[in-house]
Amino acid sequence: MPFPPLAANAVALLDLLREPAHAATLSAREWDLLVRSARTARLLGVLEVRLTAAGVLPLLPLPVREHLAAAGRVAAYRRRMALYAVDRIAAILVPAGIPLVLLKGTAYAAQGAACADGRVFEDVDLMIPRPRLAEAEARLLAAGWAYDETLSPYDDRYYREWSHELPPLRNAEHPLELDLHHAILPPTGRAQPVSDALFADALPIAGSGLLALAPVDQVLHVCAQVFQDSDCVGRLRDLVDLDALLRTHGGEAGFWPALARRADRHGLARALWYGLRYCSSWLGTPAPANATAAVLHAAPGRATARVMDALLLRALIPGDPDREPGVGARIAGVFLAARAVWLRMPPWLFLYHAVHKGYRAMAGGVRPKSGISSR
Amino acid sequence: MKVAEVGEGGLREYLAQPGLALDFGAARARIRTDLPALAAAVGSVYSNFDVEPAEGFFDVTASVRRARGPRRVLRPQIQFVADGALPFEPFPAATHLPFLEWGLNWSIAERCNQHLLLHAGVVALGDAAVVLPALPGSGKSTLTAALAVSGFRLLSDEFGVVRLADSLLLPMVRPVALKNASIGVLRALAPAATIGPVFAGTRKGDVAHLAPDAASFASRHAPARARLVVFPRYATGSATRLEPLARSRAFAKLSANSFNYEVLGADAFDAVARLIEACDCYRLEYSRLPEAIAEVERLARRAPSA
Amino acid sequence: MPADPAVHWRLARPDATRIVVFDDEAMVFNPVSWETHLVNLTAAEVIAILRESPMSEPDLVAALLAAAEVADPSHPLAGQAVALLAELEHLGLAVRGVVA
Repeated sequence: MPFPPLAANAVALLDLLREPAHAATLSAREWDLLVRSARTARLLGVLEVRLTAAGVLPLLPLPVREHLAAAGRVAAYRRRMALYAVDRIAAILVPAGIPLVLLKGTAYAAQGAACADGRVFEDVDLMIPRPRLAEAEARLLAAGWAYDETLSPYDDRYYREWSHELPPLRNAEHPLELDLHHAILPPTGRAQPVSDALFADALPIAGSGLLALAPVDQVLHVCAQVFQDSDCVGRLRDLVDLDALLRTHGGEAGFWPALARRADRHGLARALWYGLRYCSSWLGTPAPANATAAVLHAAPGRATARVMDALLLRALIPGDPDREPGVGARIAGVFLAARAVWLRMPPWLFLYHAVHKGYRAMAGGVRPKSGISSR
Repeated sequence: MKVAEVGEGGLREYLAQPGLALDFGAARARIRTDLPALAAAVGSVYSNFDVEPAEGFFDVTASVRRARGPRRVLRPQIQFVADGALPFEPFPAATHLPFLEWGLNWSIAERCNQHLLLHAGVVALGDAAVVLPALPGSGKSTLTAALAVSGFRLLSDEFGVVRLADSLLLPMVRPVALKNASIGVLRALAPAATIGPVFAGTRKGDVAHLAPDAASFASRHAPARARLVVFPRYATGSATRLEPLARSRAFAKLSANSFNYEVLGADAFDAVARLIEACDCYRLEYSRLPEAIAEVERLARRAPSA
Repeated sequence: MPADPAVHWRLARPDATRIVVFDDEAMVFNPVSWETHLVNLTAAEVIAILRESPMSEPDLVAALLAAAEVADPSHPLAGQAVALLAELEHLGLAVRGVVA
């Protein structure tokens, strides 16, 4: 099924992610648009890593190298802060025998995975079994972690009862917030990953007493986050994570059949279908021919797929840096937000929350934009 | 061609597509706006800057445009736009230049993390630079401006840009923001200096900007070695008092007053250590600006050149 | 607080820990938290000693007293050192090990 065309700066960014050697041929103007797009997409640090690995960095103009270096430094700082926080949190929770599963970027960093390099770390994401949540919370609060004082009782309840995480926790000694999850999707959602399986198959991270999801679950987590639980806005970098995970594990014996089976088990086959589709189209992710076939049973109808293509193109792919998002992008955001809300909660719950929260806020979650600047 | 030589109409054209290109030294910016009043203000405070071609690679591209919506006529507002995003709430249209300057500061701080960015004014006599950290109540901008019109060249008012490899200070030449009484004080001190329009009723009171002079602009790519760190403190009616400050304390205060010291880790530590080791550090309490200038000048002349 | 011979100390990341001495104080870069600490010379000396090599608590105290040219082992400096080590542990700079 052919895709609608991408804008020039998006084409350039996607091309450079796949073929960093092409960097040698770009003009100053092309670099200007590229650096700005990549920064907006939170991929400037990743670009720096790939260009360095391809050996083309010395060929680039000095100002470009400096912007790449700057992005690399901020990424390195946040990665260090994430690992430092994990270290301190582990010291509080592991001795109590609470199983601690690292999620997303936090896991990639602790595992030394390829997709951790150059990544923009925003929060520390951990998952623990629901029965141990209250105890973990109590220990963390006693150790200097605290909730945002401006958190309203409504928001607090939203998190605890209807979401899969506690409200974000903060600590004066750590610049990043802590998100403590007990599942990878909201318990009210239409897809219900099997939390017991996630914990049962989690793998230890060498030398740390901590766990990470099994590779198939890490893949499905990204797919779930983007396609089951978000409005997809600005989520190209999640697809880049997904691409990296699939390239890392795709060669392992039995990976692809196991992935498909697991997707069915968690009810995430549709999300995986989308993940594979957009990764292969935009990032050239290699996958065996029968990989998509294995989740074809969960594929949307042609019309739906076309609509999703058009929406994601406008919401997920960065737009022209010299223009503000146009009408198309804004409409796409609204539709995808509606979709996210629909997937997140049954209609009666939707009505309840609609009374309290704005429509877009529901799709984006209750938390305000994380205020972490480059400090 | 200098910005001052471009007529108002010409300036407005530049500030439309593709933008007015300005070289601050450590960063190059491309600015766009559709507000004629802002165009005139930019023309005033950047009068000594060269007009550069707006094609190519820029460190910051930003625009200030009229906000859309019903308030447009009743109480017009403006938006700061960078790379397709609106990082701030709208401002009243009457505060256009402070808003642009503030937005540019934010954009630079977000992007320029290849250097250590101190929150400090920096001026230089010859190749010897004086770093004036911006603790609250310091009157840093007033003193920086006063030194800039008294024979020192201006490297920066807001950002002390420290190159990590060698701790040299890089110019980031921008208009110096003056508040309230400082505006009149600077006018009296340097009647020939260009000070831009006064913006009343901002969050910080009245604000006006001292335009960097031609010499400071011409030296925007000339780094300087820090020889003095002076922590100013303006206290009404106080005598002028200079006190040496222990280097360890200067290190601590300098690193606490930076935009990205923590982010740069060990490299920032090394850069500040290297910078401080070459400097004499002082606290300067003052109320009479000419005396403060004289003290700094005396110290600067005594300091070894780079 | 006396030095405990069953306790050993090392720096968490000795190669990346930096110390710069200015007059009678020092700045220390903590590679675990990326924080910078302003410390007195006693603390700087303790960190410098551990950076050279890990050692038991009594050995560390002895090395510190020697560096300070203090002959009397019951000098208050000894007690300060032990308290200081706990502080460094809290900051993540130093790691305690216990010999079984």
